[in-house]
Amino acid sequence: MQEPIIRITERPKPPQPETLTLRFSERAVKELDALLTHYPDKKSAMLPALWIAQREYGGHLTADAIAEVAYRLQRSYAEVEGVATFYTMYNKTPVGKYMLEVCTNLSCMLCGGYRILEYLQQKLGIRLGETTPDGLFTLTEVECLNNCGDAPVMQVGDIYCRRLTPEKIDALLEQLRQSEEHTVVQLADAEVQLHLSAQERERIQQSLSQS
Amino acid sequence: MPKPKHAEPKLVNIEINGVPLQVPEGELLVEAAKRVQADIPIFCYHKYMAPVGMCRMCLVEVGYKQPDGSVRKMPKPQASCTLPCTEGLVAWTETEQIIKDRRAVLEFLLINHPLDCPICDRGGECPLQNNTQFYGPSTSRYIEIKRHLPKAFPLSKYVALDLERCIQCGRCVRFTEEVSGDAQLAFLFRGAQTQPHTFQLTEFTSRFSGNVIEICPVGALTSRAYRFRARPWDITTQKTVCTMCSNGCTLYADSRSGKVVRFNARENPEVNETWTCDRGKFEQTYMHAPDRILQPMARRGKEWEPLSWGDAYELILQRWGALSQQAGGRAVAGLAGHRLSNESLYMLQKLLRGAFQTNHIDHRFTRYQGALIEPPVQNEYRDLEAASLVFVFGSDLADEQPMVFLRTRKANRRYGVACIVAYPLENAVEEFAAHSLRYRAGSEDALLKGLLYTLLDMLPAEQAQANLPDAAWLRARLADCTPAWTQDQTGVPTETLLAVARQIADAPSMLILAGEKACDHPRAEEVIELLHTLNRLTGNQAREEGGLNLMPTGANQQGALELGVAPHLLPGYAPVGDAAARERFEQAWRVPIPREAGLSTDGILQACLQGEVQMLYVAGADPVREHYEPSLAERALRACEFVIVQDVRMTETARYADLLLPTCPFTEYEGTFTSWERRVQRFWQAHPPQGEAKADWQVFAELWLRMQRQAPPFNAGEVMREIAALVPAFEPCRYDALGEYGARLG
Repeated sequence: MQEPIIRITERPKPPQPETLTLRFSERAVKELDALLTHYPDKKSAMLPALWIAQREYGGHLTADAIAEVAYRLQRSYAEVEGVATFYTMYNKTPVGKYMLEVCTNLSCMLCGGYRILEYLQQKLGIRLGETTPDGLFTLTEVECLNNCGDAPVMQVGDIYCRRLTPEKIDALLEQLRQSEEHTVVQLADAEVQLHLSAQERERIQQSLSQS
Repeated sequence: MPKPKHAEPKLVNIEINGVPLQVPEGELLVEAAKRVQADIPIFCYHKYMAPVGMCRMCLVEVGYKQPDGSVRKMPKPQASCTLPCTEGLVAWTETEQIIKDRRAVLEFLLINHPLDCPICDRGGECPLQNNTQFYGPSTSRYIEIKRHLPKAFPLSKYVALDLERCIQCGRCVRFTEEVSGDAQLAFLFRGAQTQPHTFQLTEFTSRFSGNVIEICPVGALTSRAYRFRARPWDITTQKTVCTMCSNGCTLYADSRSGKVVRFNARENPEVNETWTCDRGKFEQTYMHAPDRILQPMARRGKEWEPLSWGDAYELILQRWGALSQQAGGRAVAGLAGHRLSNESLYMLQKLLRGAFQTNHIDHRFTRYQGALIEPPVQNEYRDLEAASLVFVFGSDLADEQPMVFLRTRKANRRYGVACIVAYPLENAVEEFAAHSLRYRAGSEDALLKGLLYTLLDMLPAEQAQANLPDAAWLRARLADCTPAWTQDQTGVPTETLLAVARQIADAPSMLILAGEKACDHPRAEEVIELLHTLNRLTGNQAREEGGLNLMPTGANQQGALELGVAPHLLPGYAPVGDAAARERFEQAWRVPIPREAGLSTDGILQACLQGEVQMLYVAGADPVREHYEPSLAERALRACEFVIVQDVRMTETARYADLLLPTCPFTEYEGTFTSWERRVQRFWQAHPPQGEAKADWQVFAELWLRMQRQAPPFNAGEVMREIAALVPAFEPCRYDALGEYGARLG
């Protein structure tokens, strides 16, 4: 039992709860509190809590976001990170304002899904998984979007663009460039609102407008 | 004896491979199969963790007996690790279908597993290797490129992670979640990319991280200290017991050419199940420390002069010869360490009492050195699960008593045992405790007084009176210890105190684990007296599953008390003042024993300062480091005329020695240790002694021979036989009777 052969590279310590910077807004905290009442234990609220975090941290889950969720749900960091990395719709790396998710599954492939992908890559000058330098578009390939009748399909935020052609794409990109929306954050918000009941949404709205 | 809480399970009739047998209902099929020696290969299943059925290696064919006597088979093979036995279950573990299935599972597992067995630490003791050998295909059809991931990634000071080798069984992840409770490992990503990892690749800081190395069924998690040190087939394995704390975990010491290369856990369902803590597993390296004392040495001015053992004994006898003329036994004292075996401790006190005619002998270096007359511990590990409430008082349990912590956590998770912790700082028990009392450090007595006051109010008067005849007197004594006063004194909010008192009052039984903060308190006598009062008032003194435990910290501290290494006690808690007890020992030893109780540690050190004690025998102890007031120990050692230090290595205390005697660490001799629960367990010699080191008991026996001219014991077993003949509690501890899992005293 002498000194180990491997060169010792000290790993950083996991963050202490006191050192976390909590970034959830007042609204987010209220939403999480409401969500926690839905389940018998805090662990069950992990998926919606991660959606809240994805919204609050501007579209993707940083290490801080994961740590904050873990702290607020009193779970270990690793457990939350495991969940976040399991699901593809939680973004672990920074993404653009608009996520272009092109389906290349069976029907879309037969109807030219890969051509659409190719076209987008050339048009935006990026490869799969990359983000344009202006931070607007991120291009990804996804599995079946459950809209085979209208193939080829692409998802941007919570809207579906159906029967895609290069012209339609040009128009869509132009429209998105003009738009002020942040579809990635919007999608996260939509997911959060979906988990809350109508009364809870109303109550949160009211209490926020009062204060 | 099994405690009554877990009732005897119902038996059901099942059949495995045509052999009918009866097993408890709900026992997992994979466990039941062991009863008929049906070998079911496993990866993810672990006896002491909940089954998950992830690896599919344990598939068996299963059917159920129908009322008409026929057997209806399930259409698909079932995972035997998740299948509880029920009436009429029929299983086949070696059918053609199963043999094919196992080959298929192994072929899948081996797709991405690198075949670096020749340089893998697990090679030779690897479940994957073994199972492939017995059940797997001899060739692979996979010709594509295997998955490539970082190799030997240092997860912490102790653990290296080799992701390529991982087969995603989830044992390590489940261990941190279920057993140690810190959940520091989790599976990241999905599908073929799944990998166990810490959060953001930060350090794996668990206190029990070493266990994941042992439970990993492949070489994915390896020990950094053991890495490339030895191969499983060139190490010799010997059974031993851990000496890092009083929990008595059973271990295997693996040594290669006379050096211990690693410690692995040895299964003991009564103690550590199959777990160890990192301190026991990795930090126990003192037997190969560079500052080992290898031969007897005497001080000549500033130099050490090597001596032979014979000359060393001669020197002691000379000194004693001079002393016995003037002062006699009053001028001799002994201090014993907590890593000495039971046999050594017994021989030490026999030597001091019989040969040196002194009762100045002690092993306690905390502030509590009171005159105990009965064992300070009432319970055993099993009671943690049988009690309704565990009250951890003044102990950072996970740090002081790691295995007791794991068992308490298990009791809480599996049997719903409630837990209350009182400790000034953040601690690991809080994670599952119902209440945490974070009092101001040093206010232990006030907290207990406040708690007793509240309990006196809450408990029905007759019950309090019946449990504690002097309840009225206690009430008067604690008249002003109201919850408000307690909050003022300790900082514990009134509501918390009331809630805790309510829970204690309602609990059918309570087990108190009192730690360092109680025994090392400046007013330790009072704190311990209050704890005893609490124990009696709640009626737990008389209960089998409840009780008070003043947890010893040293490996064999409990043994020292049992074997009379205390100024007022002979072995077996017989008071020195008791003429009948003394006579029994006098007859056996054929020498008179001094009648008066001797001095405790503090008294001995003071007496050294005043020159009353002129010869101090320090065996295996390091007062300068261990005593609560190091400067007192240091001054005393300096003042004492002749200090004999008998130890494994050059301790702080050894620097003040006049005579140094080398002794063996626990891996170099055989003997027994007594753990906190008064369980006596055997350890064996793992490798030969270094230098001229001798076992402690042997040194004392040789001195005894020279001073008393009596035949000495020739081996540790003979010493134990002598103990057992004198102390009835040790009767089951004779070496030929002492089983694999040890025996509890009394």
